[in-house]
Amino acid sequence: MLTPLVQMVGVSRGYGGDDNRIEAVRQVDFAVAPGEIVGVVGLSGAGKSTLGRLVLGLERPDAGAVLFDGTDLATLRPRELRTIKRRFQLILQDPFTSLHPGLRVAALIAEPLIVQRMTRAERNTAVHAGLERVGLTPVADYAARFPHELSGGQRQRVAVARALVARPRLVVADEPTSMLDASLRSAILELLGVLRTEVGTAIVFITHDLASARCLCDRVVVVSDGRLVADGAPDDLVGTPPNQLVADLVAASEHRIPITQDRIPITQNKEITSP
Amino acid sequence: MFAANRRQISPTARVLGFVGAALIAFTIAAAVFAPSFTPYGPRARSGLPYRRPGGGHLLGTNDIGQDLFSQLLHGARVSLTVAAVSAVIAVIVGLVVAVVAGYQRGRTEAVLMGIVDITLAFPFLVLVVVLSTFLGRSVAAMILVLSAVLWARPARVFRSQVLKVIEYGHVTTAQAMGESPLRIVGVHVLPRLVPIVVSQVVRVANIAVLIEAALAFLGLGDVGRISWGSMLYFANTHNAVLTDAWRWWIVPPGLALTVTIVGLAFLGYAIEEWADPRLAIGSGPVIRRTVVPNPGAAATPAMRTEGVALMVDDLHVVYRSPHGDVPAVSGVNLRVADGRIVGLVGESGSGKSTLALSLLGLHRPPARVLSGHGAIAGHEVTLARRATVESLRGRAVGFVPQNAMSSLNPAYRVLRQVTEAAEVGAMADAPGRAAEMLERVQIPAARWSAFPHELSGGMRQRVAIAAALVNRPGLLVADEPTSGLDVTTQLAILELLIDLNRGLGLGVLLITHDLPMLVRVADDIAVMYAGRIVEHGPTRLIVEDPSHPYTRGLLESFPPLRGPRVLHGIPGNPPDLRLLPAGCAFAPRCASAHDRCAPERPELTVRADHRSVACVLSSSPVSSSPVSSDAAMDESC
Repeated sequence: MLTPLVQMVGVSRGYGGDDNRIEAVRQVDFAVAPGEIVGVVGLSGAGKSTLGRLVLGLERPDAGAVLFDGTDLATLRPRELRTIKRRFQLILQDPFTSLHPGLRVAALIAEPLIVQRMTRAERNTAVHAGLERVGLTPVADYAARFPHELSGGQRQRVAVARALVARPRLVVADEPTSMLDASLRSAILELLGVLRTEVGTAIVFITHDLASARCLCDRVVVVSDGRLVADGAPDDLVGTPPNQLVADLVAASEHRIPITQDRIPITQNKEITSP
Repeated sequence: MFAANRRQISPTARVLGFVGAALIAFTIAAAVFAPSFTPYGPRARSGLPYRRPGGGHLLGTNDIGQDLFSQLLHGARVSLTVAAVSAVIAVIVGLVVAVVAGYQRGRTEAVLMGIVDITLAFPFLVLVVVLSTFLGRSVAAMILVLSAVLWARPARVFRSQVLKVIEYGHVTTAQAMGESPLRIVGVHVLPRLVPIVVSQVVRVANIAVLIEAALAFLGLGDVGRISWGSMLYFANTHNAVLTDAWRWWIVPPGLALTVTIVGLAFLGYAIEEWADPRLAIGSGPVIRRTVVPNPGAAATPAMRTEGVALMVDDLHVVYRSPHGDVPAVSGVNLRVADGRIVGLVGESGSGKSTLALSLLGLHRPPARVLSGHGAIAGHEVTLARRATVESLRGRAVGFVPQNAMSSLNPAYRVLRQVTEAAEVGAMADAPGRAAEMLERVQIPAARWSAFPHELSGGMRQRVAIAAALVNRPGLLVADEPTSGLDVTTQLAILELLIDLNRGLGLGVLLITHDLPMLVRVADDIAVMYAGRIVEHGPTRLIVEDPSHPYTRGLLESFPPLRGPRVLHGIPGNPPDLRLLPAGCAFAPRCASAHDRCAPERPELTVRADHRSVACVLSSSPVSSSPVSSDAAMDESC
């Protein structure tokens, strides 16, 4: 593996007081190489989202360290941390709350560019290119819209367009497709692939859907109860699950095989299907 | 779609805003131009005492012969200035405190909110009286008193809003991309507070107008200063109420106060909507159309309902709008036999949830069922008459709504939730039957006394299913019963549904956008697009040999777990029901669309293999023998 872009060393993070403390992430060692797409797969409450927030420096670890380019984020002053974060992007699950409802699409996409001190002309060019790249055309029409005038899928495209124009080094995408219609998910996954090939961004793709992770990611880690229980190439994990937790996950994701084989045969079904 | 190039507000808000602005403008104009409208100064003894209106004194005179009309107009200056300035100061102070407390958290927040609590804990009027005695009676002192008393409540309101806003996704994403705290507050937090800030300014201004009047009325104002309050004070102390002088001495300042307050409230309403574009949703253009139900199908006589959990013919549901009816469900026929699971699949806007709700009589205006005759668990129903299904709900038909697990009552323990549902059935021993059903859905008895928030998502979903089935209905309608659950929990819930379906002989209508999930459980699948069923047939046929291009698209939309790593989707967006094309609704997104698709809407026709398809490409009946090995299905990813 290349020199890691981000590296977590023995990171733990918990919430709550002493008597009801929940350890969301326990002693995790995790690294992402530049330009790598890593899937973080696990069930609800496994600690996936906390892991994502730790990677982005939105949370401080209770123990261990998060290193970006070899620098421990905890040693940075707030201003220095913000400078590093200008090359980060976060894409969230809920397209209905993750975009500022009072800003038009053009302003939403330009946000990271303002933070990066780009001139207005440069921003406009970039926004135009970004919208075109994610297929929100005619650009002038979409640029002037507010988020509530877009469908869920279009909003996620805006989020991806923002990540594209910001040219980030790291994107954390936290369940970016799970609230979308199935027919629109592939498009978002494809655009995340584009982000990597065109910008060279490393992506941490958080999901509970092993099949999506397999189709997008170079490497998949499986999280359970705050720990990493598997780490490997997607097809290896699916083909030969290293442990029972992964095997269960694979079994649950076999979404094309009927659960029971002894259902009533279809030949007895004529009366029901003819209207 | 939407004309999105300017902010829009609803007609109501526009009217209210206009009226409010007019009222306030009127009051302000009266205050500003008071000297030019009145022939006498407000303090000049321009006439005889206690004169009735008339003779140059529009509202008569007071006890010392001062012109009341002049006092009314000049009084507006004091009332409005005091109210506006103190409201703005109080709200700004409250906002700064709230943002600092909410954004910094920790010690700063504790100290600031402690001060807020102490301020709020003081008896309000006592504080006002003490402060105004202490600070004197000038206008500046009055403003100071009012601001000092009124800032704390907005601060508390704003702070809870700040805490909510900083949890929003867009604030988190902004933090993640390294935006400065100042910019985050300025761009992401404050604008989201605008509606509440405006409403608080209005509210505080209202209170300030009233307190100022009240203080003056109590004699705590400067009696030499003419305001609406001091007019009322003098009217009261000079017994205006005992004579008919109240009509021109008390009513006008009272009316002036009312006009100001109502004007502020109306204006506030309109500004709130302007500040939050989402409040004006629904003002986009809609194409006018009318829906005519198929007249022949409406009068189907004497249907066979035996062994059929659900049968519905020619269901039409529309959304009423000022621009005409928007069709949500257009001529759907559906059948679920006892002991079968029928899956209804479609994207957002396909009409599948509207269909579910109308089956249960749970649709809300503007949704309206135009036609739909059928039977539910042996009872004949006419869906256009809500009452015919209402009595069946919870008895002959059980319903697991979308987000059922978050719709449980948080205050009731699990057993009580299900018992309550059992009591609807009016059969004996509701708690006993509830317990039996909880056992059936595999909730351990130890958890029956738990509250919903103490259970996992999967457990809560089981409780919702138990509540739906406790009266042993013949039909279960489940709308997205596994959304929001992770894959292993989804699997467990599906296994439970199959178990109940087989064990209880229950007919299940399973509504979802997740076609692979249906592949796992459904006997038959109906694919819905833009309010119509476009393909309907046995699951295996549909999966192995999808006939409608939309069905094919849906099947290919799911990333495969094995085999080549390919991603397919359906191009374009789910249909906008207000703008459906005349022909096939799917044609704009269809790779196989040709000349016939645009002018011609294909009817759902039965094919030789007992499947129905609505597509011009497959209108000629085809008989094919499907591949029947599961291994073959794997590779078809």
